[in-house]
Amino acid sequence: MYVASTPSGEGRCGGGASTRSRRCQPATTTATLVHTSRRGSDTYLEVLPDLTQGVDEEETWEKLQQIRAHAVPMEEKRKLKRQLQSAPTLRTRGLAAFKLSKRKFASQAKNRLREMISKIELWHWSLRYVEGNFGTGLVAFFTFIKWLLYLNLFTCVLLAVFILLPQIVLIHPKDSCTEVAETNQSIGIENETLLSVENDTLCCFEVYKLEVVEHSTNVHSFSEPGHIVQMILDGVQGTGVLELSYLFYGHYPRHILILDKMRGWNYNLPLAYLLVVVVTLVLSLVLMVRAAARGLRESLRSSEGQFYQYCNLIFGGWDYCIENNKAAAIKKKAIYNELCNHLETERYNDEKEQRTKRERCRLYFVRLMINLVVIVLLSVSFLAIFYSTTYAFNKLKTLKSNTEERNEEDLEILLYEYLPSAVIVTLNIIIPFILRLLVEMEHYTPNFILVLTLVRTVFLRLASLVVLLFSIYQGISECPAPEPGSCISEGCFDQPKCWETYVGQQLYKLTILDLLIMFLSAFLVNFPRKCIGHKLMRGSRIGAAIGDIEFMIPKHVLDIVYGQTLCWLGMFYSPLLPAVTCVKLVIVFYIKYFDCTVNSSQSSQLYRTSRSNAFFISILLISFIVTIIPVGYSIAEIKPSIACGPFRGLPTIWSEMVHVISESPNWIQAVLFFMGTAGFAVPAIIILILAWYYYYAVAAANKHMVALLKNQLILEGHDKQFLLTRLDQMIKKTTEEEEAARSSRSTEEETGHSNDQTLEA
Amino acid sequence: MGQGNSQFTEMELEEYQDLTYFTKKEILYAHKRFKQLAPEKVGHNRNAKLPMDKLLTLPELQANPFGERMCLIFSSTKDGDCTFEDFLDMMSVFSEAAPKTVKAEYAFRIFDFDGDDYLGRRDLEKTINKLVAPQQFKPEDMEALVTRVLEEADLDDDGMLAFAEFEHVISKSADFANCFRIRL
Repeated sequence: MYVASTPSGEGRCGGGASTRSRRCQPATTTATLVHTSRRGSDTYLEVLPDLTQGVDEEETWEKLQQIRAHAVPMEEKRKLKRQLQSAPTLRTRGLAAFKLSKRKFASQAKNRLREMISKIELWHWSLRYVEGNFGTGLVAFFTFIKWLLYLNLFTCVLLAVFILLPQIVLIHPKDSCTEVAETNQSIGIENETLLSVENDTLCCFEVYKLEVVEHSTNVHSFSEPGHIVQMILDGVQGTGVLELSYLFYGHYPRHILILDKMRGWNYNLPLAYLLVVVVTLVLSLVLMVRAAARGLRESLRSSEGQFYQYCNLIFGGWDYCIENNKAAAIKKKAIYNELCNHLETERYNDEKEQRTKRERCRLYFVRLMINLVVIVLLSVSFLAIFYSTTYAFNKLKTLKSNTEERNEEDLEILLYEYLPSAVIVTLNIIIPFILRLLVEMEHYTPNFILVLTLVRTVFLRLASLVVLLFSIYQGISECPAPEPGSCISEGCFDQPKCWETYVGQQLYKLTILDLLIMFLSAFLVNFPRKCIGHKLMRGSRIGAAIGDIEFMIPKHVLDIVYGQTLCWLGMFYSPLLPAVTCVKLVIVFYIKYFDCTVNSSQSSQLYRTSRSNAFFISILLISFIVTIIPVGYSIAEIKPSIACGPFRGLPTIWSEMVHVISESPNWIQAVLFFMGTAGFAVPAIIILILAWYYYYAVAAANKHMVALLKNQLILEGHDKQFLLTRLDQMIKKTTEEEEAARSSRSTEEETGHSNDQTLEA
Repeated sequence: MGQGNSQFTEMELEEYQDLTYFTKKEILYAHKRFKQLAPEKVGHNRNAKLPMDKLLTLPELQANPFGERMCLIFSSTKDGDCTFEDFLDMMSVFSEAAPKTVKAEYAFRIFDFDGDDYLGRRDLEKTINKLVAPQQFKPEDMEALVTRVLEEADLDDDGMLAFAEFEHVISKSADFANCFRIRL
């Protein structure tokens, strides 16, 4: 029967014409084929094209590729394959053959690539362990760390190739305060004013360098143990030797680099520096938006089916990868709870509609008050950060100015150096805790509570960074531009010589501190808690209260996102920060892994992988946008320090770009100029709006269509049912009639029989 | 026989690669895991048939409420006993590379306890019961749950889910492909 229906089956998918067959979606065709193929043993013949006439080579190949999608045992798949291979094939020729071989090659290459990737896949076994014991929700978190690691590695490669490598490979004119005039002349720059500025900045750099070196040698004149302590301190704070290394902005020279062999070809390092940072930021944005869009699409698709919450839980709720009985029991319990929750929520919603006006007023009042409290809390913490930063700044100035009694004040300096970071970290620990307590009183649904607390916490974390930057900025911008010839303006001698490096150091410090806190909370807080709770006080209720630590995914995601924000903020001021962050992420992975597998018990909440993925990325995106603003501002508006960095002596960092553009060929200038005018901007905006409107209209139409089709489906279903019941009735009627006829016949027979008997008698 | 490779020729591996969603390395690894279930039997005959309770000692299947169903469905003799090829079929369907449609097909079979090609109320009840095993729903809650599921998914209102309806639900579920997966 199926063999007979082959032509129609083929017609559905474009038949022998290869051009058409490619247009039909393979996914749906396989699905229908697969499903229909299960009714009967010889049904797989359906997928075979008409073998007697010979088949297109390309088609055979396509079918061969699809064999694995058939839901039949291996033996039958093998038979199917034989049949396909033994059938006489028509060779394709010309362009089609070329295309076919290209496709074959592509799929082979894909296979090969997959094999290779599976060999070098990072943390495969750790992820598998987490998945087997904690389910896919947690794995999503760890893969998020992995994704960020790859992102940072990519950034590192860009930075290394375009900024570090040229400095090592290419040479540049020697710079010193006095020689500069000669070397510049030998290169052929004849601009007098530029020369003097160049000379000035170089001299300032010398001064700055001298200061740092002097400071570190001063400290290094200690005895041996003190030396080691100082080394560690330098490493953590990014001072001393590190300050003059490639780690920070200050060390990068303002040079046009030249290849030794070919003098004519030169490399504009400052421009490269600027471009690489901008390009990496843009690329990160694109990657993130792509990931977010994918997540958004998925979550939209699943949220459009709000109606599907039960189905999702029942058909897609089980993690087939769970391999641990205890985890399985918890998972079952979680699913049970979730189902109960859904039923409960429905009842709650019914109740909510019956809530009295007075109760509602009270609830709204409570919510309003709590929101006010939250705002007050947040602003108090901002103020605390701001004041601690400025206070530390001032204290450090006075302490550093009297350099004689440095020995006793060493600890004090360290204290003040770390004061702002410490305040931020403490606030980040305490405030979320209070927020969690407060939100309980607001009587929201559990999901909304999760989101609300997270948003508030994110706000705290990001805003604290912004406040920190703002207070630093105030310290810098107070001073008017210095006179030509002096390195720093009058009255500001205590301000850092190189503020960019200073910002970089602050962010570097925060990064290190962040790692340290994570380490401490995992090994010195949670681990002892677990040990005490589960080993010493086993069985008791207090022990359980101490030892049961839930792995709260949102909190940990926030930790990771915060780290990444620091990296983006600091990238411009400390080009090696992405590398530091990479190392940090690897360590963090293991810390979190330890925290999750050893310290925590499985969470009783269900985390939906898709939803949480979209959520992670969107938080990352928000924090990215928040970081972009200050970095962009500092590039476009603030005057870079004279004493250091690749942009010394320029009015703003962006003016390097402007300078390069103004030296470029005319047509580029014209194009760029045109892009800046209204003549370009207005049409562009209009086109964007039109495109947006078009897609909006298409989406709306599709939505309408979906609703219509759904209705139609229901109608058809009713039709079917109606017909079925009619059919049922008819069948019943006929059988009844038949039976009635039969029974009457049988009674007739019986009576006949009895008549016979009576006759016999 | 001690080495993993010696039980398969390159040709056989190629063929398995064509018929499943695995790379050669993964196929060998799958065989290693299969062998671990019953080393003496499989070591003797690489395609030996293992009884269902042997298969259920595999951690993923043992913890899985649907482990038995999976064995039954993938067994080529339909009695739950699986050869290596059946096992490979199972793992291939549950692998990361397998498309959603294939997964949906098998999921449907797993949930279709009575094998009538429809998910009726009884099938759904059984599924839910298995899913929450030690806990149990009260009859009226169960009734409500099944009704809700049907309300959501039963597009043509015939009181049971056909494969097309099931597939539609699955296609909307973002997590399904993620969950319906076993990492070898």
